[in-house]
Amino acid sequence: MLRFFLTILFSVTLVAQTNPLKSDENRKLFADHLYCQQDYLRAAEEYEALSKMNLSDTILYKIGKSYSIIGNTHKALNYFSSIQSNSSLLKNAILESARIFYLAEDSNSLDKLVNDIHPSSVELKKLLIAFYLKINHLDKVNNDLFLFDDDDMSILKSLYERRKNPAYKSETVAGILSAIIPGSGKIYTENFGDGITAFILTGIFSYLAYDNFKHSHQFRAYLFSGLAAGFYLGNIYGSVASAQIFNAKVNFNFLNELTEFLSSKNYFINEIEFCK
Amino acid sequence: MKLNFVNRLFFFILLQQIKILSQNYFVEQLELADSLFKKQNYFDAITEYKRLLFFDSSDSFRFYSNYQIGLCYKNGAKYSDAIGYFVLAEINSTNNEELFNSKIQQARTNILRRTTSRAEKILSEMENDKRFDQYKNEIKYWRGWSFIFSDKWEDAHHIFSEIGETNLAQICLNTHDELYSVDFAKYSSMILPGLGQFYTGEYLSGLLSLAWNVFAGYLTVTAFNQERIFDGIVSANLLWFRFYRGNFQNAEKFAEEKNIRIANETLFYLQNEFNGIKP
Amino acid sequence: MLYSIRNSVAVILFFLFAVSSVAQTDWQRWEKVQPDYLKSFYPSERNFSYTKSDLPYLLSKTLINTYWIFISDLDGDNCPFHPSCSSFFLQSIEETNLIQGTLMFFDRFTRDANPVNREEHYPVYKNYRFYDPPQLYTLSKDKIHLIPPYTVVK
Repeated sequence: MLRFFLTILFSVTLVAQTNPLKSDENRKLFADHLYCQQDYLRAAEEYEALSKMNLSDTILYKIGKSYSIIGNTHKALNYFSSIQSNSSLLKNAILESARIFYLAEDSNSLDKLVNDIHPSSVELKKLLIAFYLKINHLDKVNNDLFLFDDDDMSILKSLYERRKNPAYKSETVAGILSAIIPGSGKIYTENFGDGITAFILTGIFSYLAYDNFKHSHQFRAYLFSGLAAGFYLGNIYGSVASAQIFNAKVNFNFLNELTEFLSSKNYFINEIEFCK
Repeated sequence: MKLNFVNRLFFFILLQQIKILSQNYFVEQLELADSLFKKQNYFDAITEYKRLLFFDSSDSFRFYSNYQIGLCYKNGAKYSDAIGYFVLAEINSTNNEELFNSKIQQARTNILRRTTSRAEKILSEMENDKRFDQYKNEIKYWRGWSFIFSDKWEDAHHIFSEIGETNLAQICLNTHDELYSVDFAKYSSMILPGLGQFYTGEYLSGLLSLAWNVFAGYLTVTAFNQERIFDGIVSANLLWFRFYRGNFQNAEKFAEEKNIRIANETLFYLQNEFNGIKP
Repeated sequence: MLYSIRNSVAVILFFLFAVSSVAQTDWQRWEKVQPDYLKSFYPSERNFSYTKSDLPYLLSKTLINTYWIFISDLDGDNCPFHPSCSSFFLQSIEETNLIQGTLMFFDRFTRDANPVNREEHYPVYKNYRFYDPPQLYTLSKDKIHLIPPYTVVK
């Protein structure tokens, strides 16, 4: 009789349990597997389904990293900031948060993180310099920030010099050159083909106008003069515009180089390999 | 301690229950995943199928889970991912029916993705495979759909007629008959400017093209006749040649655009109102 | 034997793509989607409507509409740029004024006449023409959104 009741009790207990595939231990294993497969949204949701007491710092960091990669920066920041101050992952969490602020151009949060909360971190200082270079607030880049002479700092210094004195072309010079010799302004802004074409077109129509005036073909002469004048004025206008575009290109290339430098350094974050 | 019969029976029943229940957990997981699939909650269904795959060390659910994940991606229009999982299902198939199903889904998903050459290659492989002899008509059916999606309406008509799909065969034949011949439009315009445009129903464009070509031709010929060679060359180049080339380019463009509209009408019907099996 | 080698190759190829492509699709939640059978095409429809009401614009737009109907639609696709030169002229007038628009047009014609090295200067529009919008040439720097050459603009 006792055995009979024990069997029933045991069976009922077994049946009443939740599926062990959804136990915390198994969820964690599955979530780790999803994380290593780069299926980050699913991994984050699996980790979040664990009970609160099982959320170690490693797991909190991984959730933050997952959300950061898929672009949900709000949740990522929440998880990074919930990592304990005595954890070995704290430094990485701070740098990941800094990267999010950098990419979102959140000047206030980045300033606060670097200057108020963690003023002694070298990596954060480097990121802050890069950020000021990006948004072109060079007045905030003072010599205190260039702490010591490692490779990164020297690259940042050279980028700073380039940002301070960019290799711009002057719009006025381009306009004046084109007024004197049609097309020369465009050659000055390195649009060689366009400059030569402008010179040829203005030249041809001016010659046609002159030729027709000489032979007293009035209508055609005025037509070609009008066209020649149009191309001449258009060439001056175009040279000024192309100087502007040249300068925009200088800025664009600078920002690209800055981004490439930071990407090559992984934003000064020492990536942790969770998946072997 | 010697176990008497009752004690042995007791332990036997307990062990059986543990074995059944652990197997039941996988079946329970499968049922959960299937119910999410039926409710069309595909993203979560994939999560549950992946969970089953991860924990199933006996590989008994490998084909089914991969196949179902493929179907989920297909229903979410993520065709490249779907094909990947159908390939995995093919590799893990245990019998001819499973192998056939995974391969035919690869073909169907390739059709939807518009990579019809890949679909046709898979279907040709299957046609030549002796294991699928009983499925020949089904393979031909999907080959017909592949022809539809690659604009080969006449071929589609022939193959649907072969397998007795009269409705689809008639639809394909009607579409084929309505289509314009792009080559005819282009070459007739080369012979007589404007003819191709008339053929495709663009009468105003045809008339204007004809007028410009006649006018430019007249200017060029009179210029040469009057020994004004430079004027003749200029009007030939800047007028006659441009309008002549523009004329047959337009004829070709009109024929192509009208053909796309006609094909899209049929495709719209097939997508929304046709009741047969679709890719 | 050949079948199993082909299968192994398929598995390897799948795993090479799986991690990057499969995973990235699922970085956002998605729902069921109806398949779309229709073929996509981009009919080159002209926009003959008038968007502004000042006199220089109305005159220019009427002139250009006439040009489109009687000449441009008949002599083929000759402009290597998008927007075409006539559309560029119109958009320039819309963005600025008649005089500045005319100067921008003469400059664009000059660039059109230069057949050399276009791919090194301009991005590509839908793999068909070079992308050259009037916003780059209005002389207001904040309107300049630079797109590097060799990129495809949708």
